[in-house]
Amino acid sequence: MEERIEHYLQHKYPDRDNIKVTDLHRIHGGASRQTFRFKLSSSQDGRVSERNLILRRDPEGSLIDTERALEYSAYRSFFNTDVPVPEALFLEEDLKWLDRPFFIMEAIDDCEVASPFGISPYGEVRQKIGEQFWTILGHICGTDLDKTELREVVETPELDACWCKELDYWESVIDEDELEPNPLLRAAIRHMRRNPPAPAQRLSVVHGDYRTGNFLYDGEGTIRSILDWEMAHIGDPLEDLGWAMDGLWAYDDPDQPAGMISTNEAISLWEKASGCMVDAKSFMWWRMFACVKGLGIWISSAKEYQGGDNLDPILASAGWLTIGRHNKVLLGLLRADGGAL
Amino acid sequence: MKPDLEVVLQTLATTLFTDFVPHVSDDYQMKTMAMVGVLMIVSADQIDQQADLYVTDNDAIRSVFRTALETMPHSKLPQGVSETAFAEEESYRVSALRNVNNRLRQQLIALHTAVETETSDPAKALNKSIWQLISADVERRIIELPNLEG
Repeated sequence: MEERIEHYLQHKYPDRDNIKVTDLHRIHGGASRQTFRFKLSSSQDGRVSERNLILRRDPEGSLIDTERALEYSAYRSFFNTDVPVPEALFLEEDLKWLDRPFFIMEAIDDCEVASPFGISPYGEVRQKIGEQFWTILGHICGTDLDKTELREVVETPELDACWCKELDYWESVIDEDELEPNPLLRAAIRHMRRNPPAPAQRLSVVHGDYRTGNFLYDGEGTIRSILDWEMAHIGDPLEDLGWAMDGLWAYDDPDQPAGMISTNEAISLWEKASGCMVDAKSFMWWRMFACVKGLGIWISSAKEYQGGDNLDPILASAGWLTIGRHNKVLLGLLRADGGAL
Repeated sequence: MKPDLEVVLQTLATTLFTDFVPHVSDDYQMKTMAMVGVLMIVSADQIDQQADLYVTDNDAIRSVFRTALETMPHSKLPQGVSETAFAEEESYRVSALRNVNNRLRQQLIALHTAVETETSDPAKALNKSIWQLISADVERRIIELPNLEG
């Protein structure tokens, strides 16, 4: 594979010589794309340079059906802004290079990624990370849509259609991929349709998977990069907030969503950075939606694995271990919202 | 049948963790192998539990269906409810129990949809029974991660 990447990069960098790919290895996790890290060395005008890069290639089957162009556009939309992201370099959809579409971006070195399912994943730096985490999410919501490349590749819904568009989509995913009926999930969807949220207060970029485990941070507790934008879209600002505070992440500590800082502090930082307000009733709807969407993803992963389309054991794990826990989170929210007895 | 299925799977997973995982240098392969081990341990646990889970759930759903037939005799209940309310398991193979469970859960969703917005006392009581069933089922189906320490 190194040789094929070298051929591709030679094609993209015609002015460079001695292009060499070394230290190529696959990074665990992220079943929606195969992620590889490698070192690129090359020379130009007699000067030798090295750079660590990331290659994200479509798998044969994945958790999430998304277009890599969308993710690539999202990275480009936020490069050199208040939202830290790596520089996206090349998007390639011609299958002749690596058999499947892929894109290449800058690697962010000397950083960690926490497990989304760990207890207290950020330890002593949780306060510092929490303050950045919720503020950056506010910046994403507050970004001027007209200044993003993302707007060119995704649909822009009406303010009062954001919730319906998302719920319709994820219910259709569940309809298509469900291998066993889930009475709780179906009851939740019916309840949510009977009790929709208020129209979005504004349209914003929605990361789509903004959560514990989807960002890189360094040893000082500085968030260096927000990752995994493959579900980015335009929608209600509360959607990402509901997803990021979902009880699945960081072991469902209701006082410390995402295993960082208190809920009140998180919302305050988010409101300040985004210029949006959290309406409690609508936010409860988006928190239930986070469970529906999550269950949709886990249901799809179970189907992919069961059908042999993707044999990465992380999909079996998602189908087995995560559905049960997410059902429990959803049941708790439904009870709190009067949707379950 | 000895050794027990769950013992074999647990032991294979232990062998994987102690004899193989520590010697894999590639990070991706090492983590994938560790996840395979975790899933083997979970499988060992589930082999012991699955028949009980489905039989318990199937019985509970049929019980709710019988209550529906008794308390709402004049209502038009979803198709299949009256037939399955008094049925019994024809096989205790996990695959057979699972197929029955899927059919029953589909019928339960139809019944729940039909009664949850009804305002009669029997419908309200049935709705409550369905939620009790769902809540118990959610608890039963949670799979805890194995403790790999020690």
